[in-house]
Amino acid sequence: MKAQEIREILKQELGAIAPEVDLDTLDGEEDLRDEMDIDSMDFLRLTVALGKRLNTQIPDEDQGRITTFDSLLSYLIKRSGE
Amino acid sequence: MAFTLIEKSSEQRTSQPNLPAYQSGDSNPQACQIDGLPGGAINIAYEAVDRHLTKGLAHKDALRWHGKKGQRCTYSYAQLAEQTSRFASVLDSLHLQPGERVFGLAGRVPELYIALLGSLKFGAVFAPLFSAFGPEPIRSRMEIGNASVLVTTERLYRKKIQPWRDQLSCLKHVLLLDVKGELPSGCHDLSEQLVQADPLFPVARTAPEDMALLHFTSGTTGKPKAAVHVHQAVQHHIRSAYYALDLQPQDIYWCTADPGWVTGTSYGIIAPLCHGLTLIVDEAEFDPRRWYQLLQDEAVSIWYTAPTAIRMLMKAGDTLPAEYDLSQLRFISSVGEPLNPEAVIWGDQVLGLPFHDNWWQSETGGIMIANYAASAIKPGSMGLPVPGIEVALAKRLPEGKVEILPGNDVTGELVIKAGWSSMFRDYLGQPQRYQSCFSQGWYLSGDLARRDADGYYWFIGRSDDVIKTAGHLIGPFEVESILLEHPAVAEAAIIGIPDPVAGEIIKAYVSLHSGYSPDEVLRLSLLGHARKHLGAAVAPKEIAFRENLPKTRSGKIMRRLLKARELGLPEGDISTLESDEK
Repeated sequence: MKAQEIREILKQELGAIAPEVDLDTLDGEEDLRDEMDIDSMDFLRLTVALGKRLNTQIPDEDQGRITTFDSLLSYLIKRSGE
Repeated sequence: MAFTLIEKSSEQRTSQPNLPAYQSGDSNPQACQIDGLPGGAINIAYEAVDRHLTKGLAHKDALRWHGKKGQRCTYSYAQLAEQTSRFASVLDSLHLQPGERVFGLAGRVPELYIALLGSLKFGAVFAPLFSAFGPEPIRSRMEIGNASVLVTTERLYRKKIQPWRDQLSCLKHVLLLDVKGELPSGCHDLSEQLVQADPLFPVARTAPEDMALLHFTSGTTGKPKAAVHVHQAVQHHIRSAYYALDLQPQDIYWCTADPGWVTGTSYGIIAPLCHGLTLIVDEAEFDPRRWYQLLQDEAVSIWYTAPTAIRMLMKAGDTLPAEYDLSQLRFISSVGEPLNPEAVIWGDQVLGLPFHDNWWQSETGGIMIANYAASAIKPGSMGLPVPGIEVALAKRLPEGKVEILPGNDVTGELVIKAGWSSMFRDYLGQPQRYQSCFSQGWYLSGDLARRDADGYYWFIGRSDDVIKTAGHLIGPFEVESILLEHPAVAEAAIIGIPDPVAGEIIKAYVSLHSGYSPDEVLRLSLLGHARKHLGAAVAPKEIAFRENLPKTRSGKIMRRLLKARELGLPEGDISTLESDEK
């Protein structure tokens, strides 16, 4: 899957969790939970939804590596290429 | 399914437990004494910080903070005393009067802890707010609490306060704790003010019954309630932590609760500092690897956390903890909602220690029922009353009376003999609501429980419609009111539905005005509307459309019926049902 497609899927799933956020103005290097006001439960649902869409698993122990939009996107690109 | 009793062995212990054998009476040990101030005054900040300076703890770490980006900083008791005096001095320079309300809205940063203790030191009343609240819960709480001062961050201010700040006439000052660029108009730069403030500002000689803290909680109906707590509550904070958390001077202590909730204040700040412990604070959100790393690196010995977090750790796997050295841990406990027996046992098998569940509420101010270090645990049980606290089960009778149910193997509403020091003293501005919580000298908790043949208490449920999600109590009214503000919504009802991690999650049922279609676009619009106003912690996670919601003859929506149907449970008495769900 191309990086652009993964980016779109990530945006769609973020939009499903926090539809009030304008994703175009998101700072990709800031803490995603602060930027989008998502809590631990939202984050859990997000990783489950992304895992399903991208046919991969996002282990809970990797949470510390995916705290920003950019780091989450890079992570997903890497995982879907594995 | 019955779970095996977890017995304790004295061989496993690294120290003698504070309560070697359970007893219901309080022996008032030396470690639980407060120092007090001249003239019979009591001030929580003095007991937590300043009194330690003359007892050899001035240079001991009081607080070790870990930032989101890997930063670490420490405050000794002497530094904490200085910083809290400086904060009190800032309030003085703003001409604040003792008794005025200071609200805190920030993540877990040291300045928030300093603001809380500094406010108490000054004699002001501190009201913590959860930083994941949206603008509406923040505003309604600041209105109810008559906020004079708000301490917050620039980001939270701009996002959640600034748009309506001018409409809150009681709010005199906003102190921003992290100003980097241009100061927003009408705000103060707290860091700048602290530098100029008096490092020796004296502790206010507050009377034992002077108001100290406001903790907001929710009921089924009406707006949030501000539970009033007084300075002498510190006596129960100290005593309950001594018995139920087994706090001892050498302990490194980590309470994962946010100070925006009562646990994060009573046991995240006040009790451990009063015992002269070193407190760990982590700014970051839950991350299993980070948590185990922190437990290891800081050699945490006492850990107080919550069921949602424990279940997330269980989900992250049994092999992860083995990668870390957790040998310093000696006592682990949980609060927020009943801890399922599987989680208690998981702790015992995977971490080598069982979780000790305990029970209390914002209204009780401190732990009332607990499992103890030296006592056997019945997994899934709340445990036994804290020594000195009288707990009973009661049946409500007409005209506000109660009947206390004698003996064991009984089920009823948990009630507590009124008069303990951390008992709430009022719901601010709602005296009748406060009075209705008491009958014949008992505080009526609204929680249903069973007492077994050995005197252990078991949580059964709430007697009202409030929802416990991720350990946070959410009132339906606050959520439903916001949903009803959406132009499409005709009726709204909120229930809690079971969730394997959060305990319950909030589900909304809505019926629509004519002309609106129950489609995905509208669902997202409603979800966004709720999140924008309420914040992630309070907004529903699921929304279902209905043509009509079940109502009584008087037009009251029957949430109980929605919940029974959602869970496939018996519908119970539906004689008052007038208009059914469609």
